[in-house]
Amino acid sequence: MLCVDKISVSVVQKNELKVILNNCSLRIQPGQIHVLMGPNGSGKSSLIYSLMGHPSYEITEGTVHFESQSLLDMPTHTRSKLGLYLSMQQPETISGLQVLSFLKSIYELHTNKTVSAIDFLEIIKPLLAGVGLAESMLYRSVNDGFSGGEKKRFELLQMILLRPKLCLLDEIDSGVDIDGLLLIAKSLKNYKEQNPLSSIVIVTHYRRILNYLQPDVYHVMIDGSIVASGGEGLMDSIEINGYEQYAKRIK
Amino acid sequence: MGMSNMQKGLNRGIVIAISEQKNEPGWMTDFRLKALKIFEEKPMPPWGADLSDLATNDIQYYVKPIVSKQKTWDDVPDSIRQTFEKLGVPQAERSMLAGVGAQFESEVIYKRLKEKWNKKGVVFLDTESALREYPEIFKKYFSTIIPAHDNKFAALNSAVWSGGSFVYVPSGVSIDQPLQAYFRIDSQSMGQFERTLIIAEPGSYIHYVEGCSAPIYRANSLHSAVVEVVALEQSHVRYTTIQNWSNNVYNLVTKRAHAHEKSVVEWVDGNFGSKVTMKYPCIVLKGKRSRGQIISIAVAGQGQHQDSGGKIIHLADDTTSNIVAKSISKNGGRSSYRGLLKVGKNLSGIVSRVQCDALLFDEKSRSDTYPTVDINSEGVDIGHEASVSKISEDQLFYLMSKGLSAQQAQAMIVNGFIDCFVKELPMEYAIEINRLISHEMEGSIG
Repeated sequence: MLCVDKISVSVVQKNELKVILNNCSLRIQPGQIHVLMGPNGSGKSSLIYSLMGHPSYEITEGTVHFESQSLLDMPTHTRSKLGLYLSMQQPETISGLQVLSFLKSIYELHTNKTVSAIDFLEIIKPLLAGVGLAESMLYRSVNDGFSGGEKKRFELLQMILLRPKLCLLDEIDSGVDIDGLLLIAKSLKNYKEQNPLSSIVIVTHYRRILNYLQPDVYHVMIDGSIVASGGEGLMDSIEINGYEQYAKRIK
Repeated sequence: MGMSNMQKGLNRGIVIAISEQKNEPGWMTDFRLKALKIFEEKPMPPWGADLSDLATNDIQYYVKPIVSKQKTWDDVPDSIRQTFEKLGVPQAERSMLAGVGAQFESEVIYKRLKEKWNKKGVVFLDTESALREYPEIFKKYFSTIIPAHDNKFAALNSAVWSGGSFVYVPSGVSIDQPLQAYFRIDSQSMGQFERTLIIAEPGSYIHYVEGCSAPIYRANSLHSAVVEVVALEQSHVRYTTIQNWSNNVYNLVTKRAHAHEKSVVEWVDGNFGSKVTMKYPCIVLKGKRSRGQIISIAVAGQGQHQDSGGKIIHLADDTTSNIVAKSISKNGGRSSYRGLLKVGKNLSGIVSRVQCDALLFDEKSRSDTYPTVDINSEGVDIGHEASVSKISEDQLFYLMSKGLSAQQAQAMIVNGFIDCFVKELPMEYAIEINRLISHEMEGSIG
């Protein structure tokens, strides 16, 4: 489904091009759950932002294909319509943009049909309840004054609404209390059950959410490269020995 | 058009001819001539937007349309009807118009007022007709709020005014649907000098809405209106303007209201288009416990300068005012907020809030704030907040990652930014503004 082949990525910082990803490769099959682990600044977020086409990240080498289509030079919104979805670590606040009209707009764009506000309410209400958000949320501004947990659940809500094929989740479990975490984990699991061919990439620092999801592949990123990939054993090893072992191996 | 069209430029002869053509009483002719003298003597304002390209001698000061006044929609000629249809007037009328005062080429050609308002004694006329039909009330209030010497362009308007609306709402009468005037200017180099006068008797309510959209044409064009509002005791006047002039129009408008005891005056003012706009709706809070509110937005694109804002003058105890001004600058456009908050001597219970927010699209665009505060009483409660923000790459990316194109994303951010303004508009205008914003975003993606 997704084939990332030996990409290098640079980002412009203070008018200088800085290399942040080096020779990264990743293959994801339909229905798989992948986990990206690694210390802060190792390039996990950069990788998934690059996949989504963030304008700050420039893929200088390598190829990225999604369902056999090259993603290079494809605008972000086209990637979204192809079935990629990104849940950002810090979702942006858009003051004055009503949640209801925003959700209705993106739903219409993804389904290529228009729905009346009344019909859309019927669609969205059960989904809201599913992620534990109040209906009054619909009449607030996008992410404006949302708590950390509300922001994550709102990202999840959009994902469930749009039913993407590839979900890129950047720390969907951080800044969330234990009840919130349970709810997010259950919603993700539920999503997987209803959309068995959808794949998920999770960037996380915590094991707790993974216990619910039973991922297929774990990757360790260090200094902009994927240095190890494997099964659950990889996670166990990191829990015991930390990332130090891989950092040393690189040097 | 023969006699109907006058030469360009301005002199006593033209002013007299305008007055004669309208069969005006002598006092109005004198008023116009005095105003002309003031206009000629007053220098251009040394502050505000750059008016050096404005050639007032190159403007035709009066254009009379070929068609005469029409009473019903069916009587309006096809070509003009099509123009109105493009503007959406018929639908608007079907849905919620209480009456239409429409100005086409300086002259009101189509006007109708629903009978129920007539029965209640509401007068909604073009200003010339009001002068003829209601001379006493007209003379009592005309030019009392904005005298000819107020500023150079008020003087110009006073000398050559033509068209505009006259609204009179009797005591205790509440008009539950907005009164609307739809107009556009359609002739090259033609100045538009409407003169609008609204009188709200004690305890009455009126919402007056004017919206314009101008076709594109080449020569510089001047729009210089004067709007006077008299809100008597416990009345409530809301005046909504949406202006979308083509990019060559100088839009220099003077608007002022007098708010008497316990009355409420609201200016809702949206400024799109034009080359230069200078407009600062003013409310003089003359009566105790009166309230004033000014909500405005200005959108400045390439080559445009929106110099707008609001003025509030507190002259009585326990008066409250609120200004919310939003501006958007893109493609090198410039918007300025120019505000005045004045509180007279020995007053108590004064509360005022001013909030100006600017949204910038790019480095080339510009936003300035020029607030003037003149407080002459103790213990007033005043708040002023200003913010400048930019549309960030991350905001656009966030929305685009959910499937919105760059244009759609920008339009959503802008519509969100002006949401508090749009909420104040009647539904059809709100929809129109959202569409206009989406349209304005086209081509603004770098």
